Amino acid sequence: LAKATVSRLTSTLVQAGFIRRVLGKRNFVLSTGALGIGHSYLSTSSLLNAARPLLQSLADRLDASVALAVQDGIDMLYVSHCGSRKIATLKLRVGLILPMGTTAIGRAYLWGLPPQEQKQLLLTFQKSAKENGEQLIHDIHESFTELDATGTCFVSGGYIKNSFGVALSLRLGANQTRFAMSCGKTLLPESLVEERRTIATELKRTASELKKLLSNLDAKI
Amino acid sequence: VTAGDEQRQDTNNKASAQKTLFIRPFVAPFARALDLLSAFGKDERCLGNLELSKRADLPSSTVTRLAHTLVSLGYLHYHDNIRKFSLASSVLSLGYGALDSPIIHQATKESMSSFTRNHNVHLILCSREKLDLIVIDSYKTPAFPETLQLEVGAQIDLSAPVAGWALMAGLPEYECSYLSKSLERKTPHSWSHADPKFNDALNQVRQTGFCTPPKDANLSIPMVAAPLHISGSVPLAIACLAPRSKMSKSRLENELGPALVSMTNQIVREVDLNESKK
Repeated sequence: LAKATVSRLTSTLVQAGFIRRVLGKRNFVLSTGALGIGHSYLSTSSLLNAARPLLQSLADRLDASVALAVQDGIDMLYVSHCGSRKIATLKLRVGLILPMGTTAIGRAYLWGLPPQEQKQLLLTFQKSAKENGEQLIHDIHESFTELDATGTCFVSGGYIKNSFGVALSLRLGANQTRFAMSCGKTLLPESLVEERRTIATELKRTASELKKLLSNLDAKI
Repeated sequence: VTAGDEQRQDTNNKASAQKTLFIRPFVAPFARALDLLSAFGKDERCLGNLELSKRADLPSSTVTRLAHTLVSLGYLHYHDNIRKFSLASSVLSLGYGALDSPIIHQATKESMSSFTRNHNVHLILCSREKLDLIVIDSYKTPAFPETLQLEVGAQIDLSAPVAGWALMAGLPEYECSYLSKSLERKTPHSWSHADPKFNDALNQVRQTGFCTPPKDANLSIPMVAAPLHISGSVPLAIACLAPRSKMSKSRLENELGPALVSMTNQIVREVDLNESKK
């Protein structure tokens, strides 16, 4: 954008309460404007409110962090997140935007997409990863193979170092909106194989409970 | 929205801005789109054109045009059957995630929950949105009914004693007086910039670090509040609430006020320490 445009836009954002200037500096930081809108969205979404107890109970049972995400452009957006009460997974929260190509939740979502949309996104990711593009696509296809075989995929270190996620793709509500759901933990090398199996089983169980619970809800998300 | 449109709006706004002595560039259609998103509240999910036009104070033709643009951008849904709009998930990507800041929660969680336990009071952490305070964290006490305690997302008038006063008192002087004058413009019946009560509150914060309600405020749930400035975060205030029977003037001034201040100081020290470690 042109500099003049940027300055007119930032000025508008300041006056609307979305950003503010750092005292004595030329930088801006986010202000609370978006917080109110986000709260309104979250507190009136009947689907997310209905889903939360099931997600929280899964998080508590597994002592893990559980998230529900939708597509936001070429990224994934957390629309619901429940942490376990025992671990403070501070980096993860509602409103988080994370890459689709490198995370379990993103790959599960990608896998569930119609072929044409999936192909287009894969091309975009390959391009933007430049020299690592081929490797990335290879890794994504490995996750797809796993999803074909087991319904879930496992990715470690996709977003946070020393942690892993297990994810699946699901459609919820009266209009069958596409979501992905994941369950993440920090790495425990010894029991990983078993841990992963338990999580996948529990995740699938919660997914089918969610489908049943939300089948009649308007799921515009 | 055409460029010509934008220019016209700009000129209009410049004219009105001059009246308030500020000349700032302003992209009106953009600001209106933000107003439209902000018009959605916490009670009703779906709003029709008429309701939106009332709440955002925009002509209904503008609402129609903007709302459809926002639908195509993924910020709103249109519900055909009821001809109403609702917020869509992309509004969370406008900064909600960054704002619902883990830094703030992490820095305040421990101290605030132990304060609530030790003093049997309800604590809230607030930040400002325009002329309202928004509760961004809430610590409840079993010591009094839950219905009297505030939830995250609750809004409080900035002008109501004393959480908003404490937050304003913690701001640089020009910002504080700008807000106070804006309050006067918006709610002339309930706020006067020259009100000695507010001035007393500012002085009290300067001297003691906290602020208590004026004598005649007669609040059913009195509170004492203190500003909190964590580096890298928006200006905040912490307020401590309890029923009147448990909040004598001397308890407010001698126990809770000073305890609140020592807690905010400690929070700031810990954040600075962690920053310098990094």
